[in-house]
Formats: sequence, C-alpha cells, structure tokens
Amino acid sequence: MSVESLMGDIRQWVPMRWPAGPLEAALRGRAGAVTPPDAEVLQKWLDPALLVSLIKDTPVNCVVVSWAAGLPEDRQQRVSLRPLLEKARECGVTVVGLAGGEARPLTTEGPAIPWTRMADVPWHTSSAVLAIADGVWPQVQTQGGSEAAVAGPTTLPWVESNGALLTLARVKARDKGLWLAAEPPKKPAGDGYILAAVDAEVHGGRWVISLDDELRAGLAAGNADALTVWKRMSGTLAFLKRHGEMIAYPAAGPLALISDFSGANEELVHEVMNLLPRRRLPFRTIERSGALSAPLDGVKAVFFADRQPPEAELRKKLLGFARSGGVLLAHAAWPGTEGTPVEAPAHLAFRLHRLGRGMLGVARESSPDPYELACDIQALMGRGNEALRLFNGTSMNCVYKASGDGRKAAVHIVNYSCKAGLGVSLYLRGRYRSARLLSPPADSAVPLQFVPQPDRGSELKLPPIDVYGVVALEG
Amino acid sequence: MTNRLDRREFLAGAAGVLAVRPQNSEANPPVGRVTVAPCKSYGSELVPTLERMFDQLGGLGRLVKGKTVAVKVNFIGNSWNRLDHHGVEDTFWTHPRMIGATAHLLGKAGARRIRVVEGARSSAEPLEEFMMSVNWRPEDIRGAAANVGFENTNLLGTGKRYSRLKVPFGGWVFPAYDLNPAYEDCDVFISLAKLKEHNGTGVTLSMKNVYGITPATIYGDGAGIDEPSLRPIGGRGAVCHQGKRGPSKSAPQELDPASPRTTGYRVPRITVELCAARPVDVAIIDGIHTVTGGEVAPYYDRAYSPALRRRMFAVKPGVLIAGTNCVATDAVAMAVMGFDPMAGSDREPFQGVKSDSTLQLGERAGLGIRDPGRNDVVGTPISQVMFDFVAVREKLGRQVID
Repeated sequence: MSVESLMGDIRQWVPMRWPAGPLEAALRGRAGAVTPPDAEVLQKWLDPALLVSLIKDTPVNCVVVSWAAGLPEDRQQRVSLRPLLEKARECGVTVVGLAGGEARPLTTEGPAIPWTRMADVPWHTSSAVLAIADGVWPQVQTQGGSEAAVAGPTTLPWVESNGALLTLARVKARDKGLWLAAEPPKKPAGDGYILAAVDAEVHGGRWVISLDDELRAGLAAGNADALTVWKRMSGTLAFLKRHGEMIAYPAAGPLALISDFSGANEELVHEVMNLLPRRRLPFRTIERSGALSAPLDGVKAVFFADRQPPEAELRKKLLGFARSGGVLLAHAAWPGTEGTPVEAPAHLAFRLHRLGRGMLGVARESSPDPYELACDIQALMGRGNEALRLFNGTSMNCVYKASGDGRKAAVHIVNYSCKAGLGVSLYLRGRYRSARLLSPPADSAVPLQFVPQPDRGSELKLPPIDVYGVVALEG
Repeated sequence: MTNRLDRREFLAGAAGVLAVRPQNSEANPPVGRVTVAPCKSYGSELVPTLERMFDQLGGLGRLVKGKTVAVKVNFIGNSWNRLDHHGVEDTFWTHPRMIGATAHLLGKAGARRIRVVEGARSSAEPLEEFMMSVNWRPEDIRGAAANVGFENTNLLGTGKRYSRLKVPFGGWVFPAYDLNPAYEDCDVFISLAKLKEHNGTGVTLSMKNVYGITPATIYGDGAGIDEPSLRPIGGRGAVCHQGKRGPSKSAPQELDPASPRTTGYRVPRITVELCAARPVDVAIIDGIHTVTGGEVAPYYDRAYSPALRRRMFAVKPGVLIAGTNCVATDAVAMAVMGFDPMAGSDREPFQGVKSDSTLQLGERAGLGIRDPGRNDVVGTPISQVMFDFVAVREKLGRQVID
C-alpha cells in the first residue's frame, strides 16, 4: 500500500474511543474515578459482540483503545484486548492503541498519530492525521446547574465550541485529518453527542466519539433509551458522511483573516475567530505565506493580524486591495501610514486613513480587546457587505462555505442549546436560485422560499433546528 | 377581577373626551392637544394621514421651521431578536416608513436639520449601520427630506462631551442626567414611539420611549465606574431598572440609595424625570403594526416560555396617535389600547406588573394631564379605533397549542 493511498484512507477513518480492559480501569483507578459498576462496564466493553452490534451499519470504522501507559497492567491489557482486535480486523475496523503521546494502528499498517494538546501538536509531522487532545465539550454555557444561559460580551449566550480551535488547526495543517478529543460531561443531553460530532465536522475536524459511562453501561445492557441515543448519533454521522461535499467546500465570506496563525500572533487571531461567528460574520483564513498568491475575489475586508509587518510585495498587494475599494485593517505594528487620516470616533479600535476608494485601519493598541476588534471589523466592513444574518437562533452559529466555482454554497447551522429555536430566519445577501434545508438523519430536504427584503437581500424562514441543519444553496 | 374599563364604560368616557376642552392656565399642568387617526398600512395612506394629523395639531411649520429637530425612535433590544419570523418594524420597533414619513413632513414644514436619534443596544455602530442590520435601507429615510442625519445616542458618538440636563422639579431618583448632546442641541424634540404593552411598566408609549435616551456608556450594565465607557455594553437593567449599581461617577448619582430597587418604582420615575429634563415637543405613536404582551422579544430562544407565547402576538391595530403633550398623548393611547389612563398602580395595566403609572407620575410632576376629558382630543373618536390589547391577546392566547 502506498503512503498516498494510506493517507487517503486514514483521513476517512471515523474514530471512536473504546474504553475497555484492565489498563483503562487502572488509569481511572489512579485518577480516583472508577467505581465497581464502572469497572464492570469496562470489562463488558471487551466483548467483541458489542463492538459488532454497535458499529455495524454505522460510519464508525476505527476504535481507539488504551494500549500502553508504562503500568503493570499494560501486558494484561494486550492479552485482554486480543479477541476484540481479532473481531475488529475481521470486520475491517481499525483499532488504534493509545500509548503516551501517540496513537498507533494495531490492526492495520500505518504511521503513529500524534495525540497531544493543541499547544504541542507537531504540525509538520509526516502523519496524515493529527489528534488534538484538549477539545471542549460544545454547549451553551449555563449558570451553575440552571438552564439560564450565560451571556457573553456579544449579549448572545456564551457558546462553547471547538470551531475556532479547529479552524486554526486547519490553517496549520491544511491537508491533514484532524481528530479532536472532547470528553462528555456526566449525563450529557442526548443530543450533546450529535452536537460534538457536528461542531467538529463543520469546522474541518473529526470528533473522536466518546460516550459517558452511563450511556456505555446502557449500551452494554441493551437499554432501549441508550440505543436510541446511539442510533441518533450514528445516524448523524452517516448523514455527515453522505453530505461530505458541502462540508468540504472552502470557507466563504466577505472577510479574510491573514496571519501566520502562530507564536505571538496566535492568541489574538484565535480569539477573534472565536467571536466572529457570534457577530454572524463568516470569514476565510489565508495563511500569510500563501497570501501573495491567494485570490481576494469577493473579499470586502481584510484583517492582517500579525505583529510582524508584511513583506514588501504582500504589503503592496494589500494596499492595492484597499485602494480599489476594500477595507484593510491591520495590527498596530503595520508599518508607515498611507492615505489621508480620517477622524475616527474615540471608541474605535482602529485609526483610519482614506486610501483611494477604500480604507486602511491600523489598530490603536498592540494587544487590543478581541471583542472590540470583532465589532469594529464588522462595523468598518459595513453591514451592507454582510453575507448573512441570523435572526433569533441566539444559541446557533453559522458556518458559510461555497464551492470553488461559487455556484453552490452551504450554510451549516449548529444549535449549541440542542433545543429547537423558534422563528429563526436566515438572511442572505447573495442571490441564489434555490435553497433547501437538510437535517440529519433523514435525507429529505425541505425547500425554502426566498422572502425579498428591503435592502435587496432575501430571507429564509427556517423550520426548527434541534442541533444541526445545512441550508444548501444553488446559484 | 380586572380593573380595566368595560367597553360600555369606556365608550361613555370616550364620548366625553371630545366634548370637554378645558382651559389652560399657568397654575395647572399644560393641556395637550392630541389627534387620533386610523391608518391601516405603511403604504400610500401614511403620509397624508400623518400630515392631516399634524395640521390638526396646529401645523408642524410653526414648531419646526428653521429649527433642528431630534426624532427619538424606538429600536428596543438587540437587532437579531424577533417575535417569531416577524420583522422588528412590525412588532417592537418604530417602522422605517413611519420615520421616513415623519422626516418628510418635517422637511416639508421647513425643518433646518433632522436628526434621527436612538441608543442602539450594545452597539457603538452608527445608527444607519444598526438599521442595516435588520435589512432596512437608511438611505430611504435620509432621502425623505434634506439634512436628515442619524445618531446612535447610546454613546458619545460624534459629540464632544455629554450634555447634563437637570430635572426641573428636582427628581425622585436622579437630579440630572448626562446625555448624548444631540438631546440638548435640538430645538424641537419628537418622541416617535410604538404602541405597546410593557412587562415592567404596563405600557410603553411616547414617555417611556424617552427612557432610551440614557447612554449605556454611563447608565448601562457595563458602563465605566468613574468615567463613561467608550462603548455601550448591555442594557440599563443594573443601573436604571434595578439600581444594583450607580451610573458612572462622572454623572449625577442617585438622590436616595435607600429607595426601592424595583423596576415598577424606578423606571416610571426615571422616565418622568427624563421627560422633564428633555421635554417632548411632539409625541407620535405608531400603532399601525405592533405587538401585544410586551415591549421586546426575549433575548434568548429558550426564554420563549409557554406563558410568553400566549401573550405576545404581532397585531395590526391600524392607528396613529400624535400630540403636543406626552402625558396627554399617552393617555389617549392607553384609552385606544383599552386601558383606563386614570388607572394607578392598583389597576391594570400596572397592577399585574407591580408598577406605578408613568402617566400619573408625569401628571404629578406637572408635565401634563392624563384625563382625556381635560385635554383637547381631536380627529377620529377613540371608540372607532380602539384596539383592546388584553382582549386580543387573551383570544389569540387561547388558540396557542403547545
């Protein structure tokens, strides 16, 4: 098998954490987190029949087990897992063993997958897949056990998402598979698993499926409620696989973020990427090293986020973009001042200069408030240039993507409350011929009608979306 | 038992309204002239109807010719919050065509400068951008007359320093307010409000609309402690509604920190203080399309409780109310809504929300008279345009299926 084909295969893997065996029990015991019933469930999950019954007819084709931790139980674990490994091989399922900072395929050939925290990911490794171990459990943040949402600075509910982290990782490892480990809380809402899968997938990653102890116990016991949760989740995975084309479209939107996305620049740009979706401002990322050749078609505003001034040619290109009518916003370290200074309100995070038909804005502070930046980027780009707006749907985020030729687009709508919002409308600036809403697990699409708006855009009235729906647009 | 007027009692009162035209006197609160007109849509009938109403008030020209006019509109809440799929203009916000029609008639009457003013919630954006965020075309309003401008008064904006406006009668909560200078730098102040009920104060009309002139940089939840913040953050709940914190120390502080910390006590009083500090010259209430049961959509989807879904409905009363006195105009508006404008805190719409009557307090402060019978009410009889908010929402509420 060639390296290329292997890499192709490995990116298609749909991994699932499979906690089982004595090593897993020992690891949990050391963390003081294993009870006798938990230990019993870990034992039951060694059963090859459970593996077959659960992942049969689902997209799951890879299970991740604890394999070696430098403990006395390592050897016993290998013995205990042997029947599971044999059954997995028989079914064409890859078993990946976790050992230290990497995951190594046990039932097939393949390179080790680095399995580290985001800060330690070896981006330039030869592995076709990288695993990020410190994802968050996506949800709406609530106040101490209540259902009341915590409001963020955006005045929308505060949403925990892996979107920005995965977008950042995707820039750093454009062609690699990105696995994301995010552990569920105790007794997550049933649709929380769907949310974890969708949140990762639409942002270019793949959640390493991980079920909480209670659900795993229920599945091992054949509990009907547990099986329903699992079927809904695996149905969503199948849906995502079937509609992978719309997920694979490149990010679209009128705003481009240019950065090296690393070192001293990473924190600011990461936080801005976290906040822009809450402003309903879709963006595309351009890695600085490729920015000179990157097209800016359809881009209305550029945020050059780096503390290091752009190279002369890149600077020339960006200034040209502004002179021809674009809005160029830059870090405080932007060298020199071009154009005519414009008196800007004191609250604005940028000093403004008129430049040709456009504008240059240079941040006033070298460590600006990311929320203020996000607000001002939106304001300076101009509401009239917004690609989309979402009315109601306060716990939702939108991910806007478009096919390379621009004829098709998709707005992925993720609802982090997992409770259907009422009266959600999606505004679109662009003109499309048709719009359909697809929601898992069914493939039946709901046709949506364009309602013309005074500003020449149009709105789509969305049916209730519990967790995820994608608006498929054709131009 | 409800204290609302029953229909027969109400109609008898409404008939009396038109019959009595009391004398104005220096010793008494000013008598207001109020006009009422049916207007079913924001289409071609709007401008002539509004123009006729202004004529009935004595004509706009005498008031605005050669003057700078500030028009305070109502853009309550976040721009992304709606009642179901209804546009904000058809429920909570002053309709853009209403703003355009008013600007057009102001321009026609010779206003030198027209400024559309409002505090955009949690937004430092120019007001035009805020309007664009709900798909409106502010250029249509700008083009309705010469010299139309916009100002987001939730922050200092284009002003150089905040204006301090004193409450002439001394105030109950605050003795004076620091405001965006647009409210001082105008010769004529118009409150262009929406005809709505209010979950905290019973009703929100031309007087309560003025509550929104307080900048969130000073009176907002995230206002600066010592000095105004540069940006408005959050609403006015902490400082104004509940008194959990004071405004920025640079602004006049509370007169009595031991006074009640409730919305029903504070908001009506602050509203009256503001109406006294920045008098309303013309009150206009947009009741063509509006909403029952509350003044703004819940901020979060999950706040749409079954109880709210049985209260809040987009409705089309098809009525306009305008007047030269805000207390008198709101009193007529309450009557149009099916409420008794003479009601105090022990009667609806105030009793249920445990609020004092803003109108009653306004009368006590000498701003105007709430008894429609003592004001000069002209135009279409109230009985012909009455839209009973409670009856309508109770009827529609019974049809809601969970």
